[in-house]
Amino acid sequence: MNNKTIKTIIQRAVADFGFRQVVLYDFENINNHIQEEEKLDAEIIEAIKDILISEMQQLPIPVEPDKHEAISNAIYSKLKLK
Amino acid sequence: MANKLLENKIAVVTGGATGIGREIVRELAESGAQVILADRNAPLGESEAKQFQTNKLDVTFMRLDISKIDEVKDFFHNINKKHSRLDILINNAGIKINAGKVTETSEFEWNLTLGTNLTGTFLCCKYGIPLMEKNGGSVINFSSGSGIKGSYNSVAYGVTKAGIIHLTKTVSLEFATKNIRINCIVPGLIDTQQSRGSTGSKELFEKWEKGIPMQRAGRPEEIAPMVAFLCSDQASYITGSLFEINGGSLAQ
Repeated sequence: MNNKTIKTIIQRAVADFGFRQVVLYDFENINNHIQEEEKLDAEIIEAIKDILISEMQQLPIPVEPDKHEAISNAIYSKLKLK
Repeated sequence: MANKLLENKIAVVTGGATGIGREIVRELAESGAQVILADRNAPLGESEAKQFQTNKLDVTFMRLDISKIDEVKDFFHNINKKHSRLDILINNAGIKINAGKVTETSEFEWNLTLGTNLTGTFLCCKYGIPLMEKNGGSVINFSSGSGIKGSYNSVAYGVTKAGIIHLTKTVSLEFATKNIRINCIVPGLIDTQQSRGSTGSKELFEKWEKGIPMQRAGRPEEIAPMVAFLCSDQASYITGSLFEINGGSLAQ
C-alpha cells in the first residue's frame, strides 16, 4: 500500500502545482490528507520526505502534461524503495 | 518612489513571498508602511525580505501557515507584543488544487482548500482585527473570478472564493462603526507562478489569456496599487466592497 500511495502522491504533485504545495510545506502531515486505507507508515514518511521535497523544489512550473509520466517515474526511482 | 500614503502604518501581507503578495509587500513598503511579510516558505520569505531591506524598504519576515490555528494565534500575539497594534491586514495567501469535477474531488482536497483559503482568511480576521480596534485599520481579502461565476475543475477553490466575498461583506458590517474597513479584491487571471502552475500548461494559460477581453493576463503590479489605495485614508468611506481587476473578464 505504501508504494502505491507514494506513486499517487508523486503523480499528483508533479501534475498539480496546488497539491505540490502540500508535499513542500506540509509533508509531516501528509497522512492527514490521505484516505484512511491508503495512509503511509511513519518510517516511510521519514525516509522519503527530504528527497521528495528536494525533487519537488526543482520542478518547472508548470510541468507540461507530456512530461508528467517520465518525471513522476524518475522521482519515484530516486526514492530507492523496496 | 510612490507617494507616502501609508507612512508609519503596520502592515501584514500573508503569502507575501511570491506573486501578487510579493508585489503588495513592495507597494505598501514603498508607500511608507512597515511591512511584515508572512509566508509558510521560510527560506524564500527570509530571502525576499532581505532583498527588500537591501532596497531600503522596511520589510521583515515572519513565518505563517494560515491553515494552522496555533500558528495564526501565535503570529498575531507576536505582532501585538512587538507593535501593540496592526493597521493593515492583507489576506492574500491561498492555494488552488485542480481536483476535477465534484464527483472526483476527494474529501482531502476539499478540506485542504477550505482549510487554507477560507478558514485561513477567517482565522486571520479573527485574530488580526482585534489589534485594529484601538486605532482603526484596513483589511483586504482576496477572492477570485471563480468566486463569482462557476469554473471548471476546482469546485472547492470557487467555493472558498465565494465564501471570502461573504466573509468580507459580513465582517465589514460588524466593524463599520469602528473605523475598520474590510474590502475584497477579485482578481482575474494574473501572471504568477501559482496561476501558471495551477493552469497546468503553457498552452492552456495562453488559451485562457485569449479568452480575456484585453487578451492578456494581468500583472501583479496591476493589483498592488489598488490595495495600497484601499488601505490608505483616501479610501476612508470604502468598506464591504469588491474590486474586480481582470481585464474585463467579468464584463462578458
